[in-house]
This record gives sequence, structure tokens and C-alpha cells, in this order.
Amino acid sequence: MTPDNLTEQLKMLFATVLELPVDRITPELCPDNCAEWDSLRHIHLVSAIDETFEVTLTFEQQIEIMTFDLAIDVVTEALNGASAE
Amino acid sequence: MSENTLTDDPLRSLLRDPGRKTVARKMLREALDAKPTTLTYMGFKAKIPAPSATQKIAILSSFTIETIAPFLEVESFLAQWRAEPTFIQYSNWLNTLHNPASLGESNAVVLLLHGEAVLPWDSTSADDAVGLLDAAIQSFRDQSSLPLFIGLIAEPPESQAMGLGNRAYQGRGALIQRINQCIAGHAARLANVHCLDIPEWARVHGDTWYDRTGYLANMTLISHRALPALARGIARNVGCLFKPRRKVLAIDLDNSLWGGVVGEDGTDGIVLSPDKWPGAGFVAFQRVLAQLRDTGILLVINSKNNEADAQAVFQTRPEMALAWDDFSARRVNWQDKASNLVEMSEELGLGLDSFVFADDSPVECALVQEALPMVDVVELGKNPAEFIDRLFASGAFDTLAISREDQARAASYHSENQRKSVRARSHDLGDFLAGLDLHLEIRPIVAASADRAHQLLAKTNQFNLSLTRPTPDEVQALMQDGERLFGATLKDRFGEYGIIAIMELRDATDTLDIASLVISCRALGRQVEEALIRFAINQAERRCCSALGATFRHGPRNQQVTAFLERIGFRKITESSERTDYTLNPQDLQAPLLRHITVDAPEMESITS
Repeated sequence: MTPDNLTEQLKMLFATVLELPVDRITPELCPDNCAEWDSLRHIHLVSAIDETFEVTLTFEQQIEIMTFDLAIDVVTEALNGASAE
Repeated sequence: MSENTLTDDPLRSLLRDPGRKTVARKMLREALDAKPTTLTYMGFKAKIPAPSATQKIAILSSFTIETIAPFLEVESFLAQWRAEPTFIQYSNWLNTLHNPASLGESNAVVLLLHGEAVLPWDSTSADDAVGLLDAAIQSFRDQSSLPLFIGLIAEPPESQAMGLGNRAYQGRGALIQRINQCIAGHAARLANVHCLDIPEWARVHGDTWYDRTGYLANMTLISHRALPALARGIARNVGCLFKPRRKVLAIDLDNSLWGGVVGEDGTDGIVLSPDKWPGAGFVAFQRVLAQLRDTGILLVINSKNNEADAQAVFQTRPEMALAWDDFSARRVNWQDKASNLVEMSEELGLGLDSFVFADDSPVECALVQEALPMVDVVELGKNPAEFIDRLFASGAFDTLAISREDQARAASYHSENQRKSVRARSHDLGDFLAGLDLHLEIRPIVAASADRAHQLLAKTNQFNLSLTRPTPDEVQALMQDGERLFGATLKDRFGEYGIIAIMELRDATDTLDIASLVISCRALGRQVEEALIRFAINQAERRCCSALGATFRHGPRNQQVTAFLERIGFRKITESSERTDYTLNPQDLQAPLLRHITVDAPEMESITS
């Protein structure tokens, strides 16, 4: 998967879970600037990442997703970890 | 994501078409089952129409379960109701059961517990847990009439390694089982308390039910992969409160009840076997249909066949679990199946929206679905082992409990069908009545029959002499006398009709007055009318009265009573626009002899002539 593909796929994922238009999903998007991103939606985001990319995030990775940008990093890292195995 | 866009627009518009709700739900079900993920549910949640009314469901839970909300909203839509969940968590579940006033706005309550919430890890006895739950459930029921659904406790299977096959009767597994028996006992004993069989749902779902990390990190015991199944189970169970159950299953024959085509393969050539694949698949399916019939679902046949060929299978193949007479209506012909369904709907007096139609043929299914969108159409497919799951997938036949009326429904339709058939074969009324083997039992109304007496007096409009409508208390008062209010129970060789007539007798000077006489229209034309008059004459003689009196009150629909009275010899004494007073000297009775009905009445050896 190319980095661009991954970003686009994650954008769609965030937009669906947070019920926002795709153009609202910016790199800086975070719970502080997005009312829809509450703790419950955070769990749904983690579930959707698990199902979509077939990676199980560790608890530490789950709480590391503090912005959309960080979500890209975490998923990239998890996918690399999965392929390294 | 791509899985949403594939079915996006057609489904969105279909979901908003009120005439095609059944079809839309089926398509949505298939899409969700194909990919039951968080994204799929979140995507569809945005597409389903906004609810016009919701049911507020309070979810009391000992673990984090709020993440189920979008799943429950979609699954309740599929189960034909709309859930609006609210969540009460952790230790509050117990306080809330003891103080349910805060749930006043809710329509139903769901209680989800995990083992450690009631049974600490090092417990050696379930006594404390059972005591805690007993008190809480009883306290809730004492203060609230809200429906309560309690999830049976399911635990992750790690203790299997420490007990293997002995889990059920040893160690923690046995303690959990005892707690679950306590919950099930409450559900069986208390009105409107029901179990959710979560251990069974977890077993069917498999290893990904539990989220061990989630539980230890943030109390999310149930994995997100299991939320669709949990939501579906809750939606189907709780939904039974809010949506009607379908009443009729119309089933195809060839390749549905048996393998092959009887018109081509012959009765000996079709595939049916109690123990050999694939015939065993069809027999297993038939057995489930027989059980379904016992829960009050009427079975009807809708088949393109020669009727004689189809009937021959029922007569000659002993492997058949269903009998020809198990079907309340039958259309075995070459007419289109939608027309057959319309006819059977009229014959049974049940709307098409209470029908499920099941057929192996995708073409027949599509034709019926197109013509009759309100019918729930089930395509059985090619593999008989899958028929049962496919039939029950839509939840059309879901019910929380089987009532006595449900159990009797199919038999009652069946009895009426058999009567119609005897009637059709009979040359005259006498023949017909003789073929029924009628038996009438007349008894004073007692506490157990008082409700039915009140109901008949209140609801009967046609054969109703005086149109008096006593209240339940007045019925009780009449009942106390012991010799005033009588009920008649009718049965024939096809079944029981129950209490079908009520007669009130009142002593007057030298006359015994029939103060009330009502007969259910189901029992008219069976000589019940004549038998009751003979009973009244017998009572008059016993009470030393020389005549019977009857006061007819004119109503919009009860003219047949005056015609009957005059036909059997009652004489008018006075007449006004409101009432006609009649008298009958027993010697003037013109009633025919009761040749076709036996009567069992108090202090009468027999009034059958």
C-alpha cells in the first residue's frame, strides 16, 4: 500500500466514523478541535482501523492516536510491524 | 469506503420507500452479513431514514458497552423497530435495579453483566451472587413494570484449560451456571422478565467474542467484532415487544419440502430420508416447520404442481414429517404464486403483511417480492441444511413466549377447515351435524369461567337476546347465586370451541325468565340454541315454573333471535319499538329433536331426545 493510498483510506474511515465530510479530515484533526471525536468514537476508530487494515493495535498504539496525522504514523508502523513478522 | 459505495444509492432510496421496507431490510441484511464491520454499520447508520418514533432502551451494564449504540440502531431498524439506547454503567446497575424510578422514561431495560461483577475471581460459592441478583431483580419488579431483559453471563473460556469437560459441574463454570439458572428462574416466574442467551451467542460467534486487552485496559469486555452479533440478539429479543410476529408461512413443495420434482420424478423418485443426506436435510426442515406450527404459525402450501401428485407424496412417503392436514390452506395449481397468496390471505382472513413466503426458486421469490412487497420472502437456496437458518434470519417468527392461544391457533384453523370439508361433502344440514359428533356441556359460571362469561356478554352482537352488558363485578354477583348464570362449552370431533354461550335464568312468579342469552356465531346452526332452550325448560320444571319468559331487546344486528324464538314456539305477549316480551308453554315447543348433539347439564340425565 502506498502512503497516499493509506492516507486516503484513513480519511474515508475517519469521515465515516466521525460522521464528517472528508474535507474536514485534516492532519491536525484531534479531539480538542473536533467535538465528534469523543472517547467512544475513539474506540470505534480503533475498531475500524483493526478491521480495515487487519492490524491489531496495542493499547499503547491506540492511545497514541491523538491527531489524524498520528493515526497515519501509528497505522504505518503497525502495518510495517505486521509485514516484518 | 468501497463496501458502502457499492450499495449506496439504490439502497438509500429503497430504504426510504415505505412500500418496499421488507425488500430494503433484506438487502441491508445481506450487505451487513457480507461485511459486518464497524465501518459498514457506521456507514449504514447514516443512510437509514430518521425514525418517526423510537423506543428508549436503558442498558444497565457492569462493563463498557456504549460502543454498541450504532450497531443497535442499525440492527433495531432491521428488526422493525428503532432503538434509542441510554447507558447506565459499572456499579450503578445494581443501584438502578433497586431504584428504578430514574428509568421512568424508558420502554425497556437490558441488563448485561460479566462474571466478576457478581462473582469475585476467588469465589467458591455462588450463594452471595444468587442472593444479590434475587434481591435486585425482585426489588426492580416490585417497583417497576418495565420489561426487563437479563443477559445470561458468559465468561471467556480460559477455565476450560483447568477443567476441560468438567466445566459444567465443577469450579467457576458451575458457579456461573448456577447464577444463570437463578436468572432464568426469574424469567420463567416473573411477568415481563426475559433472558438473553448471551453464552449461546458467544459460542456461535466463536473466539473473537471477548476482547481481553480491552477488558483489562478499559472494561470493554466484548470485542468490536462481536458487537454486530450482540446488537442483533438484543434487537431481535427486545423487538418482540414492539413489532407484530408474522402469522403464516407459505411454503413451496418441490426442492423445498423434498428434493426433486414430484411431477417428473414421481412419488418414489423424490429425495426424502430421515437419516441419509441430502434427503435428511428436507426431513429436518419439515420437522422444524412442524415445531413452528406448534408455536402458532399457520403453514400453507403454495406450489406449482398437480394437486394429486403433491397429495400422493403426503400419503405414500412415510418419511414426511408434515401431514397434508397440517396446512391451514393449500394452493397446488399452475397459477402464479402471488395470486395464490392473495387468495389464501382472504381465505384465512389474515393480511399479506403477516405472510412469509419461502421457495427454493429465485425466480418465484423475485416474482412474489415484486408483486407483493409486503410479504417477507425467503429464498431457501439449494442446500437444505441452510433452509432453517435462512427461514429464521429475518426474525419474522421471533417471539418471547408462546401463549396458550398461539399453541391452539393452528389446531383451531385446522378444525374449522375440517368442518368446512365435512359440510361440503354433506348432502344436508342433518348429515353435516351428524358428522360433527357435537357435545355440549352446560355448567354454572364459576370464578374460572367468569372472565369468559363477561367477554361473551360484552362482545356478542348477533345472537344476543336482551343486549344486557353486565360489568365484571355484576357477572361476579350473578355467579354467586349458583343457579342463575350458566355457560355452555361446545366440542366436536375436530376440536373444542370453548365456552360459546351464556344464559342467565331468573325466577319470577310461576315463570322462569331467560334474562340473557348470548351465543357465539361460531356455534350457531349446531342445535346449540335448541339445546339451551330445552335446558331452560328443564330448569323451569325443576323450579316448579309452568312457563318460560324471554324479553327481546331490539338492536341493530340481533333480529335472528326473535326469528328463532318464534320458530320454536315462543308467543308474543307485548311488543314495542324497544322490546318484545315472549312466553313459552313447554308443551308448545316446536324445536326439532336433538338428534345430533349430546348435552351434559346439571341435574339432567340427558336432554338429548
